[in-house]
Amino acid sequence: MSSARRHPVNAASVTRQVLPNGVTLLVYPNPASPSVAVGGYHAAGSVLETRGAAGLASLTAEALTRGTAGRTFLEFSQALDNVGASLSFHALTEFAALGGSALAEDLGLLLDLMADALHNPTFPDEEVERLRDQTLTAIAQVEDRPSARAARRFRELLYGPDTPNGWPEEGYARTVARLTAGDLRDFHARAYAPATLTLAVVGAVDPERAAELAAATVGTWNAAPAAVSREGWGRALRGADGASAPAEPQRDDLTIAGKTQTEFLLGWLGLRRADPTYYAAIAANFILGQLGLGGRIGDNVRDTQGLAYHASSYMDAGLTRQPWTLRAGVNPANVDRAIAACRHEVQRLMDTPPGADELQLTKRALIGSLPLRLERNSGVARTLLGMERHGLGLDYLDEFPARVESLTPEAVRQALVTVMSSPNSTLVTAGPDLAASG
Amino acid sequence: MGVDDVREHGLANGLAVLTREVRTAPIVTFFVWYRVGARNEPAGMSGASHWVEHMMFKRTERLAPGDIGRMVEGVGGTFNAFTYEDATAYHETLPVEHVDLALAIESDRMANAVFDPGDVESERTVIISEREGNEASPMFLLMEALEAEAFRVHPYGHGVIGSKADLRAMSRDDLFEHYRRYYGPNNAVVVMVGDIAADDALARVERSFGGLPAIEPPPPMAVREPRQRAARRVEVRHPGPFPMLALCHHVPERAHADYAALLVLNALLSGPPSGPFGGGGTLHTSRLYRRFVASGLAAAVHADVGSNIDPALHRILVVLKPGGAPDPVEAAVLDEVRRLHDEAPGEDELARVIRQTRAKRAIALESVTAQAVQLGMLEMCAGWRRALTLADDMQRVTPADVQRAARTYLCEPQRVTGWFLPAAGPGAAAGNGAPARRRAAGARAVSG
Repeated sequence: MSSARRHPVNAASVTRQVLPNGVTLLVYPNPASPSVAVGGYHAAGSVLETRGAAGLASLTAEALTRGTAGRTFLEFSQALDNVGASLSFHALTEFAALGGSALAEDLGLLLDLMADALHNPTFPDEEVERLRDQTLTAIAQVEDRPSARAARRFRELLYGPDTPNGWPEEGYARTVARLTAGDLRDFHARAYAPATLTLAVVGAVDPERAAELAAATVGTWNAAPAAVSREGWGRALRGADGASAPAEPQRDDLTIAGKTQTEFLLGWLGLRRADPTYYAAIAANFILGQLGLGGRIGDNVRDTQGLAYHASSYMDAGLTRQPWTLRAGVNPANVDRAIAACRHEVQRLMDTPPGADELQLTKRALIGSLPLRLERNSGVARTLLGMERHGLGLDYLDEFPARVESLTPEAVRQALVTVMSSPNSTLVTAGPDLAASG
Repeated sequence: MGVDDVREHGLANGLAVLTREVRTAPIVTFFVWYRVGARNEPAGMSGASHWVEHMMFKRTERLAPGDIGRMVEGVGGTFNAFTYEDATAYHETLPVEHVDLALAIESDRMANAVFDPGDVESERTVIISEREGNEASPMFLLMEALEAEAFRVHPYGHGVIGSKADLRAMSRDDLFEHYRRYYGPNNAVVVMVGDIAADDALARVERSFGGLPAIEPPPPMAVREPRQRAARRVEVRHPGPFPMLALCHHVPERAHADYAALLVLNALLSGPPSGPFGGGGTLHTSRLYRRFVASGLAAAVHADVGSNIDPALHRILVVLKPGGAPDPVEAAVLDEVRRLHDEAPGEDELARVIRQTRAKRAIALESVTAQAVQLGMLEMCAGWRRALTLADDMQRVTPADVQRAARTYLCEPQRVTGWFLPAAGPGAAAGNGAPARRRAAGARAVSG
């Protein structure tokens, strides 16, 4: 891998501008593609909702396309479907996101529909009621799926009840059932504002044309008087980031009727994206639970012991501290063995830094996989938005190889120690009754 | 992507090679497709093809378990494999300067996998774990019971991952024999798409695979499902969150002249095909979404049409709200089927379907991996050219063709109706332990 070769997505090829109403616009032209992808993020995540209204941000985002001042839900859908375009909105904890795609000639239409949904949603009672029913069905499905149920409970235990990081983005059946169209209108008025919106347009369009189209659509949006500012969003994020690591080990075993396999998550409160140890942590995570079929954990739990089909580790890092977890799905009789194997692999990497060969392989994998992640327009858009959200700069992809190359074995070991040396881990299992399984 | 963009070659040992130059990124994707899947498994061997796929990540004379991952990811590449009813595929996507690595791995394991007995035993429990993970899904339980009912003779009724009984009983030698019978250059197709010239690609394939001897041609799969003459029903009562309906009809194989009309029919019901299988996302303007979800009658709906070597199923799947009443939903689905019998769709409706299909496919085919999947999967069941002419084939379909296809195939004697009904207690799923159709089983947890 030549570090001298400049990454094609860089400060010279990406156009960044802030429209007069505060919308940030990133454009990367990809003339080889027949299509365009639009992505975006903004403040309206569940970080702006309360626990009693858990799911409000999510339901509001999903309802944006269900009727606007100028279009019914059917008309809105027809405008998209007639040209094979797609557009959707959803809320995560830290922010709300949007994504769409269309043939290049339909970019103007896509941006127009996106602006209509953001500016002028009407939240018709009947549509909100149907969407709420669909959400309640989806929540019932989460409660039946061992992996999803375990993940939800894990966050509740890890963060506690007082931060949006501790409750599910889609909410609980009891909170969603109470949400009304009026709640959604109020949330829209205070959580949606052009000043917190960042858009990325990637594909067969030149930057000037994309800017003209954006100015004529999202550029005409004026915020409601009470709408959240960037500062207000920042305060909400800092409030959500106040969780401290659990003071003692936690474990919960959930029984779900009719299942044959147990899913577990074992984890710790991890890092923010801005944490200086982030790069060492992604290398540590790759070695521990990603390389090949699940890294060292996969080697041990899957290949050597034959206990699980999937066994791996995941490290999230956001604007707030996110979990670092080890996960597997195993026969209930093997839960303790698999958990012990995961703990053993964590301890082994905390005790002994990775070997030079293992680390070199990891570096080559992390650096070399960049072109694959940026092959599709939507992948480029996602990457640009992440760079903007975390303040990484438009030359981030050029700088990434050097950051990874500079990692030492000890830095990688230390990243794991920083997060996982605490004895106060959080463990959740979900599946058949473990007591009955012996 | 047009027919002229793809080059087709054949090596002396019978290996077929398809290449396509795509210069948008400095990467290449390399696939080997073997003509073996659940379809080729006799009684007692259900799951053998998928298990063999897992063994391909273990030992060859040169490679040890884990080596393939380290080699491919060590150059920034990705790799995976999947098995489905008709075929098994292995692939690597990697920076173009490392393409020979993919060729070396695939030519080695085409001939030299050793099936170490210890590896076979540890993988037996891994695959049983994969199956038990699938069993957490009510849709899996419903479809395995339904397919067992729909295909009483043909191996499509026993699915891909295999029954637990077979997975416990199969021996190392059974698996090795399955491997030796089906893995060889004359039962495989290479598909290479990316930043490489066709001549260069072919020369490299010749160097890596040209020396492998052809195998005895595998036995043809001659089993045919007898024509179903009366509607069938299956009910699965098991703990679960909500009722689900699968209303299925037997439809012809992918290469059949009526298949394009069935794709159009399905696009009206649910949405245009965006991937290689005969289905895509459910559009909000589709007939089924309007009838079931927009009206509040159900929570979700989807339809697709099987894309296989042998006759398969068209499926309409409806997820009810928790506590939802089954009877009105089934009656409404049958009403939508009747509407297809009674009214030919409008020309404008068909024109919209074609526009949607062209746009969705252009977007879906941005990546080299997606292009290689399209070419390979169609080559397995109906010839690779159909991957490229799909929208044109659909455009030739007339409203009368759609109506005729509905009357011919979506008719009562060809119907298999399946219900998943939530039940208290441990319950018991009907069926024989076969997996859901089109849930391709993979070596990694990302498939399906």
